[in-house]
Amino acid sequence: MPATNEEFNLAELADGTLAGPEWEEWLAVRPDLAAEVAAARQVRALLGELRAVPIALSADFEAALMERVRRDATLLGLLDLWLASFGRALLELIGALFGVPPAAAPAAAQ
Amino acid sequence: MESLPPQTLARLCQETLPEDTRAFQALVGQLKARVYATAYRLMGSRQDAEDQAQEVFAKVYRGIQDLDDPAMVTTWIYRLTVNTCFDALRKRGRSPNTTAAAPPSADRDVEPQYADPNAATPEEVALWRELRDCLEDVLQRLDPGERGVLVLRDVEERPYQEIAEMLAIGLGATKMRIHRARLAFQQLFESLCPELWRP
Repeated sequence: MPATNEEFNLAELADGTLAGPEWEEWLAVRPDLAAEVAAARQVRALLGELRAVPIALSADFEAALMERVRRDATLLGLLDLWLASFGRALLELIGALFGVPPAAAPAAAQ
Repeated sequence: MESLPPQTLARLCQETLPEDTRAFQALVGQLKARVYATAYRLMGSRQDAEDQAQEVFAKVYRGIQDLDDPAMVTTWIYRLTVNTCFDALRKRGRSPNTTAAAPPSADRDVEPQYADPNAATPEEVALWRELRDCLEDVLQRLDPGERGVLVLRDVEERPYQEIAEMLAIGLGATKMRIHRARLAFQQLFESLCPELWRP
Protein backbone atom coordinates (compact mmCIF):
# COMPACT_ATOMS: atom_id res chain seq x y z
CA MET A 1 0.00 0.00 0.00
CA PRO A 2 1.59 3.29 -1.05
CA ALA A 3 1.91 5.24 2.18
CA THR A 4 4.34 7.84 0.85
CA ASN A 5 1.85 9.37 -1.59
CA GLU A 6 -0.97 9.72 0.87
CA GLU A 7 -2.24 13.03 -0.40
CA PHE A 8 -2.42 11.77 -3.98
CA ASN A 9 -4.43 8.77 -2.80
CA LEU A 10 -6.82 10.87 -0.75
CA ALA A 11 -8.11 12.71 -3.82
CA GLU A 12 -8.75 9.44 -5.60
CA LEU A 13 -10.27 7.78 -2.55
CA ALA A 14 -12.71 10.68 -2.26
CA ASP A 15 -13.99 10.35 -5.80
CA GLY A 16 -13.92 6.57 -5.96
CA THR A 17 -11.09 6.24 -8.47
CA LEU A 18 -9.42 4.21 -5.74
CA ALA A 19 -11.86 1.88 -4.05
CA GLY A 20 -12.15 -1.54 -2.52
CA PRO A 21 -11.89 -3.33 0.80
CA GLU A 22 -8.10 -2.99 0.93
CA TRP A 23 -8.43 0.80 0.75
CA GLU A 24 -11.17 0.84 3.38
CA GLU A 25 -8.85 -1.16 5.66
CA TRP A 26 -6.07 1.29 4.87
CA LEU A 27 -8.32 4.17 5.92
CA ALA A 28 -9.62 2.34 8.98
CA VAL A 29 -6.20 2.44 10.61
CA ARG A 30 -5.75 6.13 9.72
CA PRO A 31 -8.74 7.86 11.31
CA ASP A 32 -7.45 11.38 10.63
CA LEU A 33 -7.10 10.64 6.93
CA ALA A 34 -10.45 8.82 6.93
CA ALA A 35 -12.07 12.00 8.25
CA GLU A 36 -10.46 14.04 5.46
CA VAL A 37 -11.70 11.59 2.85
CA ALA A 38 -15.23 11.67 4.30
CA ALA A 39 -15.24 15.49 4.14
CA ALA A 40 -13.84 15.45 0.61
CA ARG A 41 -16.52 12.96 -0.46
CA GLN A 42 -19.21 15.26 0.86
CA VAL A 43 -17.69 18.27 -0.91
CA ARG A 44 -17.63 16.31 -4.15
CA ALA A 45 -21.26 15.26 -3.71
CA LEU A 46 -22.31 18.85 -2.96
CA LEU A 47 -20.47 20.28 -5.95
CA GLY A 48 -22.07 17.63 -8.14
CA GLU A 49 -25.39 19.37 -7.41
CA LEU A 50 -24.18 22.31 -9.51
CA ARG A 51 -24.32 20.13 -12.62
CA ALA A 52 -28.12 20.41 -12.45
CA VAL A 53 -28.07 24.21 -12.47
CA PRO A 54 -29.06 25.45 -15.92
CA ILE A 55 -26.82 28.26 -17.16
CA ALA A 56 -28.44 30.16 -20.00
CA LEU A 57 -26.56 32.17 -22.59
CA SER A 58 -27.89 35.50 -23.78
CA ALA A 59 -29.89 35.26 -26.98
CA ASP A 60 -27.60 37.57 -28.94
CA PHE A 61 -24.37 35.70 -28.11
CA GLU A 62 -23.86 34.33 -31.62
CA ALA A 63 -24.72 37.59 -33.35
CA ALA A 64 -22.26 39.50 -31.13
CA LEU A 65 -19.59 36.85 -31.75
CA MET A 66 -19.95 36.96 -35.54
CA GLU A 67 -19.82 40.75 -35.43
CA ARG A 68 -16.59 40.56 -33.44
CA VAL A 69 -15.10 37.95 -35.77
CA ARG A 70 -15.89 40.12 -38.80
CA ARG A 71 -14.40 43.17 -37.07
CA ASP A 72 -11.23 41.23 -36.16
CA ALA A 73 -10.93 39.93 -39.72
CA THR A 74 -11.28 43.47 -41.10
CA LEU A 75 -8.64 44.78 -38.70
CA LEU A 76 -6.26 41.96 -39.65
CA GLY A 77 -6.88 42.70 -43.32
CA LEU A 78 -6.11 46.38 -42.77
CA LEU A 79 -2.99 45.47 -40.81
CA ASP A 80 -1.81 43.24 -43.68
CA LEU A 81 -2.46 46.04 -46.14
CA TRP A 82 -0.66 48.56 -43.95
CA LEU A 83 2.37 46.27 -43.50
CA ALA A 84 2.56 45.64 -47.25
CA SER A 85 2.36 49.38 -47.97
CA PHE A 86 4.91 50.13 -45.25
CA GLY A 87 7.28 47.51 -46.66
CA ARG A 88 6.96 48.90 -50.15
CA ALA A 89 7.53 52.46 -48.92
CA LEU A 90 10.60 51.30 -46.96
CA LEU A 91 12.09 49.68 -50.07
CA GLU A 92 11.44 52.84 -52.05
CA LEU A 93 13.13 54.91 -49.34
CA ILE A 94 16.18 52.62 -49.36
CA GLY A 95 16.28 52.90 -53.14
CA ALA A 96 16.07 56.69 -52.96
CA LEU A 97 18.77 56.96 -50.25
CA PHE A 98 21.27 54.70 -52.00
CA GLY A 99 20.43 55.77 -55.49
CA VAL A 100 19.63 52.34 -56.91
CA PRO A 101 17.66 49.35 -55.70
CA PRO A 102 19.90 46.58 -54.22
CA ALA A 103 19.07 44.18 -57.08
CA ALA A 104 20.50 46.59 -59.64
CA ALA A 105 23.72 47.25 -57.73
CA PRO A 106 26.04 44.72 -59.55
CA ALA A 107 25.12 46.11 -62.97
CA ALA A 108 25.62 49.66 -61.81
CA ALA A 109 29.07 48.83 -60.39
CA GLN A 110 30.41 47.82 -63.78
CA MET B 1 -25.10 21.37 -41.02
CA GLU B 2 -26.05 21.73 -37.31
CA SER B 3 -26.33 17.96 -36.98
CA LEU B 4 -22.79 17.23 -38.20
CA PRO B 5 -20.31 16.06 -35.53
CA PRO B 6 -17.81 18.67 -34.26
CA GLN B 7 -14.83 17.01 -35.96
CA THR B 8 -16.57 17.22 -39.35
CA LEU B 9 -17.44 20.86 -38.71
CA ALA B 10 -13.83 21.55 -37.71
CA ARG B 11 -12.59 20.03 -40.98
CA LEU B 12 -15.16 22.08 -42.91
CA CYS B 13 -14.00 25.23 -41.10
CA GLN B 14 -10.45 24.50 -42.20
CA GLU B 15 -11.63 24.21 -45.80
CA THR B 16 -14.07 27.13 -45.93
CA LEU B 17 -12.94 29.90 -43.56
CA PRO B 18 -12.75 32.85 -43.85
CA GLU B 19 -14.94 33.07 -46.97
CA ASP B 20 -17.76 30.88 -45.65
CA THR B 21 -18.59 30.98 -41.92
CA ARG B 22 -21.50 28.51 -41.88
CA ALA B 23 -19.48 25.60 -40.49
CA PHE B 24 -17.96 27.87 -37.86
CA GLN B 25 -21.39 29.12 -36.82
CA ALA B 26 -22.66 25.54 -36.58
CA LEU B 27 -19.66 24.63 -34.41
CA VAL B 28 -20.36 27.61 -32.15
CA GLY B 29 -24.01 26.56 -31.96
CA GLN B 30 -23.04 23.10 -30.76
CA LEU B 31 -20.41 24.09 -28.20
CA LYS B 32 -21.42 27.52 -26.92
CA ALA B 33 -23.51 26.26 -24.00
CA ARG B 34 -20.69 24.11 -22.65
CA VAL B 35 -18.06 26.81 -23.13
CA TYR B 36 -20.27 29.37 -21.43
CA ALA B 37 -21.14 27.08 -18.51
CA THR B 38 -17.47 26.37 -17.82
CA ALA B 39 -16.57 30.05 -18.15
CA TYR B 40 -19.41 31.02 -15.82
CA ARG B 41 -18.31 28.57 -13.12
CA LEU B 42 -14.70 29.72 -13.38
CA MET B 43 -15.31 33.47 -13.71
CA GLY B 44 -18.24 33.82 -11.35
CA SER B 45 -20.32 36.36 -13.25
CA ARG B 46 -22.49 36.30 -16.30
CA GLN B 47 -20.78 39.25 -18.02
CA ASP B 48 -17.25 37.94 -17.43
CA ALA B 49 -18.31 34.49 -18.63
CA GLU B 50 -19.82 35.89 -21.80
CA ASP B 51 -16.71 38.01 -22.48
CA GLN B 52 -14.45 34.99 -22.06
CA ALA B 53 -16.69 32.73 -24.15
CA GLN B 54 -16.52 35.33 -26.93
CA GLU B 55 -12.76 35.42 -26.56
CA VAL B 56 -12.57 31.62 -26.79
CA PHE B 57 -14.55 31.45 -30.03
CA ALA B 58 -12.57 34.35 -31.51
CA LYS B 59 -9.42 32.28 -30.80
CA VAL B 60 -11.08 29.26 -32.38
CA TYR B 61 -11.85 31.29 -35.50
CA ARG B 62 -8.23 32.46 -35.75
CA GLY B 63 -6.61 29.16 -34.82
CA ILE B 64 -8.71 26.37 -36.28
CA GLN B 65 -6.70 26.34 -39.52
CA ASP B 66 -3.66 25.26 -37.47
CA LEU B 67 -5.44 22.47 -35.60
CA ASP B 68 -3.62 19.31 -36.68
CA ASP B 69 -6.31 16.82 -35.78
CA PRO B 70 -9.94 17.93 -36.27
CA ALA B 71 -11.03 14.95 -34.14
CA MET B 72 -9.55 16.81 -31.16
CA VAL B 73 -11.59 19.96 -31.71
CA THR B 74 -13.84 19.54 -28.64
CA THR B 75 -10.89 18.89 -26.31
CA TRP B 76 -8.99 21.78 -27.88
CA ILE B 77 -11.87 24.21 -27.37
CA TYR B 78 -12.38 23.02 -23.80
CA ARG B 79 -8.71 23.64 -23.03
CA LEU B 80 -8.87 27.05 -24.69
CA THR B 81 -11.83 27.86 -22.45
CA VAL B 82 -10.09 26.89 -19.23
CA ASN B 83 -6.80 28.55 -20.17
CA THR B 84 -8.52 31.74 -21.36
CA CYS B 85 -10.44 32.00 -18.09
CA PHE B 86 -7.34 31.26 -16.00
CA ASP B 87 -5.44 33.98 -17.93
CA ALA B 88 -8.28 36.44 -17.32
CA LEU B 89 -8.32 35.62 -13.62
CA ARG B 90 -4.56 36.04 -13.40
CA LYS B 91 -4.76 39.41 -15.15
CA ARG B 92 -7.53 40.46 -12.83
CA GLY B 93 -5.21 39.49 -9.97
CA ARG B 94 -7.94 38.79 -7.47
CA SER B 95 -10.89 36.52 -6.87
CA PRO B 96 -14.13 37.57 -8.50
CA ASN B 97 -16.09 39.68 -6.06
CA THR B 98 -18.76 37.83 -4.24
CA THR B 99 -21.64 40.05 -5.29
CA ALA B 100 -20.87 39.33 -8.91
CA ALA B 101 -20.94 35.62 -8.13
CA ALA B 102 -24.69 35.52 -7.75
CA PRO B 103 -26.35 33.86 -10.71
CA PRO B 104 -28.27 36.14 -13.07
CA SER B 105 -31.80 36.87 -11.96
CA ALA B 106 -33.34 34.85 -14.78
CA ASP B 107 -31.44 31.77 -13.62
CA ARG B 108 -32.35 32.21 -9.96
CA ASP B 109 -35.94 31.35 -10.70
CA VAL B 110 -35.08 28.10 -12.43
CA GLU B 111 -36.13 25.12 -10.39
CA PRO B 112 -34.21 21.85 -10.21
CA GLN B 113 -34.96 19.35 -12.93
CA TYR B 114 -36.66 16.48 -11.14
CA ALA B 115 -37.65 13.40 -13.13
CA ASP B 116 -41.18 13.86 -11.81
CA PRO B 117 -42.06 17.56 -11.48
CA ASN B 118 -44.70 16.71 -8.90
CA ALA B 119 -42.07 15.14 -6.66
CA ALA B 120 -40.57 18.50 -5.58
CA THR B 121 -42.34 20.17 -2.68
CA PRO B 122 -41.99 23.94 -2.18
CA GLU B 123 -39.75 23.19 0.81
CA GLU B 124 -37.47 21.04 -1.34
CA VAL B 125 -37.25 23.72 -4.00
CA ALA B 126 -36.45 26.37 -1.38
CA LEU B 127 -33.79 24.14 0.17
CA TRP B 128 -32.30 23.42 -3.23
CA ARG B 129 -32.07 27.14 -3.99
CA GLU B 130 -30.44 27.83 -0.65
CA LEU B 131 -27.94 25.05 -1.26
CA ARG B 132 -27.15 26.25 -4.79
CA ASP B 133 -26.62 29.84 -3.64
CA CYS B 134 -24.39 28.67 -0.84
CA LEU B 135 -22.33 26.40 -3.10
CA GLU B 136 -21.79 29.19 -5.63
CA ASP B 137 -20.94 31.68 -2.92
CA VAL B 138 -18.35 29.40 -1.34
CA LEU B 139 -16.90 28.48 -4.71
CA GLN B 140 -16.41 32.14 -5.61
CA ARG B 141 -14.72 32.90 -2.29
CA LEU B 142 -11.99 30.34 -2.90
CA ASP B 143 -8.85 31.47 -4.66
CA PRO B 144 -9.03 31.02 -8.44
CA GLY B 145 -6.65 28.05 -8.44
CA GLU B 146 -8.70 26.12 -5.90
CA ARG B 147 -11.95 27.02 -7.61
CA GLY B 148 -10.53 25.96 -10.98
CA VAL B 149 -9.54 22.45 -9.94
CA LEU B 150 -12.84 21.89 -8.11
CA VAL B 151 -14.90 23.04 -11.08
CA LEU B 152 -12.90 20.85 -13.45
CA ARG B 153 -12.87 17.74 -11.30
CA ASP B 154 -16.01 17.77 -9.14
CA VAL B 155 -18.46 19.76 -11.26
CA GLU B 156 -17.35 18.89 -14.78
CA GLU B 157 -15.75 15.51 -13.97
CA ARG B 158 -12.66 15.98 -16.12
CA PRO B 159 -9.96 13.30 -15.84
CA TYR B 160 -6.94 14.00 -13.62
CA GLN B 161 -4.57 13.73 -16.56
CA GLU B 162 -6.44 16.38 -18.54
CA ILE B 163 -6.50 18.75 -15.55
CA ALA B 164 -2.78 18.22 -15.03
CA GLU B 165 -2.10 19.07 -18.67
CA MET B 166 -4.26 22.20 -18.50
CA LEU B 167 -2.46 23.40 -15.38
CA ALA B 168 0.92 22.30 -16.75
CA ILE B 169 1.76 20.49 -13.52
CA GLY B 170 2.37 16.85 -12.63
CA LEU B 171 -0.35 14.31 -11.99
CA GLY B 172 0.59 13.93 -8.31
CA ALA B 173 0.58 17.68 -7.76
CA THR B 174 -2.82 17.90 -9.44
CA LYS B 175 -4.32 15.30 -7.09
CA MET B 176 -2.77 17.03 -4.11
CA ARG B 177 -4.23 20.40 -5.19
CA ILE B 178 -7.66 18.87 -5.66
CA HIS B 179 -7.60 17.28 -2.23
CA ARG B 180 -6.48 20.52 -0.57
CA ALA B 181 -9.07 22.52 -2.50
CA ARG B 182 -11.81 20.16 -1.28
CA LEU B 183 -10.70 20.67 2.31
CA ALA B 184 -10.57 24.45 1.83
CA PHE B 185 -14.08 24.32 0.37
CA GLN B 186 -15.30 22.21 3.31
CA GLN B 187 -13.96 24.67 5.90
CA LEU B 188 -15.53 27.65 4.15
CA PHE B 189 -18.82 25.85 3.56
CA GLU B 190 -19.04 24.76 7.17
CA SER B 191 -18.46 28.31 8.39
CA LEU B 192 -20.79 30.03 5.91
CA CYS B 193 -23.58 27.45 5.63
CA PRO B 194 -23.35 25.30 8.78
CA GLU B 195 -27.01 24.23 8.57
CA LEU B 196 -26.36 22.62 5.17
CA TRP B 197 -23.24 20.67 6.15
CA ARG B 198 -23.86 17.05 7.19
CA PRO B 199 -20.76 15.76 8.99
